[in-house]
Amino acid sequence: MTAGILSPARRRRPDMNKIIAIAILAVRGAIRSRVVLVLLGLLLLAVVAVPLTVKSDGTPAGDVQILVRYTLGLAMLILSLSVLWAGCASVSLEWQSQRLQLVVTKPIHPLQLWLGKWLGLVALHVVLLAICGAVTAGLLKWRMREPLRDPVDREWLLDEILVARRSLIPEPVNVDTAARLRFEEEQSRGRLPADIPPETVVQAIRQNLLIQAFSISPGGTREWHFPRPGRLDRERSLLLRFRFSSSTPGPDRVTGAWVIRRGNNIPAVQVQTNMVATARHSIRIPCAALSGEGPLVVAYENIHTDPVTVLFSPEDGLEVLAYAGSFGPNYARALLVLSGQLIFLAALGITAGSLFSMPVAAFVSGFVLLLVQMAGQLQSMAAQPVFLAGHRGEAALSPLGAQAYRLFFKLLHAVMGPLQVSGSLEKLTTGVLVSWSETFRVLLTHGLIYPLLLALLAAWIMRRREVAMAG
Amino acid sequence: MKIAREETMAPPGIQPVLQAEHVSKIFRDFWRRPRVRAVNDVSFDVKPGEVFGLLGPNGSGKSTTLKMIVGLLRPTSGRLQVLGAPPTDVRRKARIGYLPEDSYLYPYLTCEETLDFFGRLFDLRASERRARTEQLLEMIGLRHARRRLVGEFSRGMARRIGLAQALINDPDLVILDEPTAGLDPLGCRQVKDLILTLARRGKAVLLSSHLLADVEDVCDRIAILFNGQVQATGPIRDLLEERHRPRLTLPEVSADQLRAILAALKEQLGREPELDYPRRNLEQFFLDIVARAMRQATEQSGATPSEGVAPYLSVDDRRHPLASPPPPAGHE
Repeated sequence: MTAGILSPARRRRPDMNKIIAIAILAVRGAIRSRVVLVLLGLLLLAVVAVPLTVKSDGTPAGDVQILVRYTLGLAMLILSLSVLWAGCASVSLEWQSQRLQLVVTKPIHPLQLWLGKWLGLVALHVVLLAICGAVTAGLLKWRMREPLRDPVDREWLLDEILVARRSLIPEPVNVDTAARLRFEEEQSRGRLPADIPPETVVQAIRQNLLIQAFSISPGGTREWHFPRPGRLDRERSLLLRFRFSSSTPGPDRVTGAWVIRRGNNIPAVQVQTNMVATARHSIRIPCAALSGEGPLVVAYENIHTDPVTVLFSPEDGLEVLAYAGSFGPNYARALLVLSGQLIFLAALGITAGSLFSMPVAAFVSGFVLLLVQMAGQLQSMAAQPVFLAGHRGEAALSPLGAQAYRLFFKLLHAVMGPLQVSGSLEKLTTGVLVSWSETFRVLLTHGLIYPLLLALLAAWIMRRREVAMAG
Repeated sequence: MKIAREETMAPPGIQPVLQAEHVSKIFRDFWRRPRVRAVNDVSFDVKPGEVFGLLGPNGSGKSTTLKMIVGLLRPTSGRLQVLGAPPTDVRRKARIGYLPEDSYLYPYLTCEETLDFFGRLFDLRASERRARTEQLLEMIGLRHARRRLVGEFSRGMARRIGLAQALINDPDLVILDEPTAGLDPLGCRQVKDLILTLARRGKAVLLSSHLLADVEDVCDRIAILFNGQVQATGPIRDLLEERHRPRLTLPEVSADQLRAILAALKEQLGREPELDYPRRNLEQFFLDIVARAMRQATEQSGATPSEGVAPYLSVDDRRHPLASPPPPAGHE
């Protein structure tokens, strides 16, 4: 009430003061109710117990997979459930217990209340994630020590797994025109079934052509062009990583010949492989041997003695990995991406808690998460006309209904799509770079834009909602 | 120490701090169908320096009315103005102190942290918060329990902390819902003294209670609610006074003088006047006993009764709230 004695520059902004008060309240409540202690215990148990209990496949990569991906994945699952539950409860339970009554009668805007709760939850969970990350990193370092790890394995791990490599995928094959032409040809010959919608047929032809572009019949050869790898460190190697399936059932080995070059220059690598299908393999490409300019060309010739067709998956069958940095910063970026996801979950929980009572809020936020996971399917549901047709090809919806159907799923995909994050833990345990741009994108969407939108929605609702009950 | 009751009513012409005009509240079900009419066409106002009481049995609409005034509920119809603005105006809330019917405190905060937390919500400077927390803890007699978690408190102790949080901002309008519920007689007396002190400083106090004696002790005006409607309203003296039955209070007289006075009165009235002797009320008797016991005891568990009101609440800066501009967003 009295005039301040501190100069304006030294004073904290009044609005921040309130937000910090609410944040401290949330943290104090979590610590004193022993929620933090229980969480910490669970997390440490997950980080320490998982590597001891889950059996590895015996390979060094398998060990890292369990130590990093499984333990941090489990820790992340625990933290996600916790932050979502705590977010829902932090408003809805206070609403139900009427404790919120006392706070909202003070000069605090609903947005400040929301931000305070969010900051408190985020601080708590990000610190817990950082602890898990630090313990896991410590365990990894310990497991990499000489007596525990064979020097050859260690060297291999440091070059292929505990590293950050930029992933280059083959330039996309455009099969749309070919698919449309094939469809018209088949239609003119009257060889298309009448009860299947035309767009479904085009889609099937397109998929078929795409598979053909990545399959090699006996004696055949196929070439893939990768984008220019940029400036290469001549001391290091590129890695061609691939996975294929064969037309013979069982784990038979398939023989093939690889030729890797740059543009039309002399090949840097010419190697014959005899490898098991479905497993992941890699071929080292010394950068020093890659002379000249132009795109990287990878050719595979099927020289297997028996007639076997080889198929590389169009999605993740082939990739070239170029060195982009060490494991430490990559690990830190992966943790930042996970933090971004936790920040979004906290925002989602608090907003759901501001709109609904506790069990409903938890179910709603769980449903939203499910929609985020299904973002890819939502896109295909918007595009895929098969859902709009009945069993005999008749229209299941009126044209207006079909338009509304498409618009609904397009909208849903537009909202949920940006929230999909490619698995940063998977990248971490396969030596793939978690880039700064990807990290910033996640922090921007998950940590700023979506929370801000959710905060505005929650504040709008809270201003309109009656806090008290009859009595 | 009992603070003497005096006329605290604001002079006519002063702008009310709180105005309720034909306010109604209907609670609806999920399908928006009217379920219960909790408040029905209620009108009253409260002026600076006035203690206004809402009286009524359970379920009469007192708490609902107060919740509408602090913005927790919205009136279905009618108009509410608090300190010249609608109840939902966030800036005006800086000048309101509210004690709900249950204290609704955070169980994982200590006494000190609770007051500090609410002080922060009013943007009070850290030193100001510390000073006020000290004074309030002293006032409510919980200085010795400052570091105990509020969740461990009895209802009475929680009530005291609830009252302290309502006063941390030195409000111009104090709204107290059943302020003496759960308090011992000593606590009740202190709350009543506090209310009178606040009113003397020009603060407007609105309280609801079904404890008639408490209301009678402190209120200038009252409204009696039943079934959500105002059944009677006005200055408490006007409502209770029986002007056709005056009572004489005599100084100390001898038996002979008394007999003579009674005879004279009988002759004038034409019938025997009633004679009784004044008694102390039970509350005063109890307070005297406790005060004597306190002087003998050195230590007590639970709340220790304290004398007086927090100094910052007692500063005589009588002013009318509407005459002063609202405080800036930051008080620091």
